[in-house]
Amino acid sequence: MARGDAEFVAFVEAFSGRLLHAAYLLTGDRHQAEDDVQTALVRTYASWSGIQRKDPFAYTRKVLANHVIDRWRRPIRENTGELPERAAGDDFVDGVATHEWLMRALAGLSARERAIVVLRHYWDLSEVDVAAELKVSVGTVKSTNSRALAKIRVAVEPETSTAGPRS
Amino acid sequence: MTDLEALRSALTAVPAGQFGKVDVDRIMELGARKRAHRRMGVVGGALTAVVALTGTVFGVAQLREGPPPSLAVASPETVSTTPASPPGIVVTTGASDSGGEIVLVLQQGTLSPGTAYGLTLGHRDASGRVTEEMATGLREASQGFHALTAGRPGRDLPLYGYYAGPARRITAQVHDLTVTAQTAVLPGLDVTVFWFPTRHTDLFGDAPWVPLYAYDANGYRIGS
Repeated sequence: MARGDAEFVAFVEAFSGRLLHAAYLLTGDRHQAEDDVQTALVRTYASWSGIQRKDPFAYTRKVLANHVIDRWRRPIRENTGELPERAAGDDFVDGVATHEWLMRALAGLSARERAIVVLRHYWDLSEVDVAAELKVSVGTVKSTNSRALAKIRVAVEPETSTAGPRS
Repeated sequence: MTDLEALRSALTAVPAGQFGKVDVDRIMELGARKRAHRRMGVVGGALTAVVALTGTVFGVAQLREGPPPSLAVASPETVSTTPASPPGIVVTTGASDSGGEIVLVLQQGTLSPGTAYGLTLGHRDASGRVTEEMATGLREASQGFHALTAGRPGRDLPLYGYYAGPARRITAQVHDLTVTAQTAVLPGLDVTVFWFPTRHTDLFGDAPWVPLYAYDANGYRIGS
């Protein structure tokens, strides 16, 4: 196996878990997530010689997020309706309930809202980085993030709404 | 309301269950092919009506010199219509057009040396009557893809067929996209009927070739 190929295999082994997790958050469907990660990795491998010395994970993450948005842009998706308030006292102790709440909450978002929530709060990217990855303005990231969090009824403290990555 | 840290905690919680193993060999194969296509500037032809016995469907551009013996082209003409529903297992696809609900009918028969299945595309009208329109004829049910058929351009389903064997998921590689088929696992038969939804018609129409893959219930690839 060529050296570049061996490095690509190591890259896949190291990062496929996180990519699959993120793809699942982006799509809400396990099989679709697997397909989307494969698609992103195919594109990464096709460009491997040009990106392996830069940041291949960032490249793959960007391809994945934009691929999901592009695919979901075609059909018109109807909003699933108002998300019910989580029951008082439901403080994420129950993992199953939490997961169900999360997936229902994400399902109520548009593809772009969902991608921004995942990039911003799962991958901890700054608003500037999210804007660069999705090729939108920082203002769009801020407003979309705020709108998405409002939809899923997440309270945002003022200082965290514009914060960069957590250390 | 939920606080932001709780949301982040929920996002990072590992989902229950396992994802299928990433097929890195396949990824590298497809990536290399994509890279070669970029270099060569390959332009694909349109996919119209093709039937293949392997797991790859080639576009019409590759067939203009005439189909090889292992390929059979489904006739776009109406094969037959019947006043009553044809015998066989009717699979509802969820797609419909002006002719009614599009269904696939799996017929069972025998061919030397054993069991064979045929797949027929048809429509079911409001009264529940199924009318046959395109039939593949019986195909030997050895493990693998069979009766692969592209529907009539602009109508029907872009691609359908059946897989003999324990397939639970069928995917197609169209350009650099992986598309998952809709499937029906037929009870009592080791057969999975699959079809790609009509929203993918344009996508398939531009593809010069469409490799297909079958995965079992554990996510392992069992056929291509």
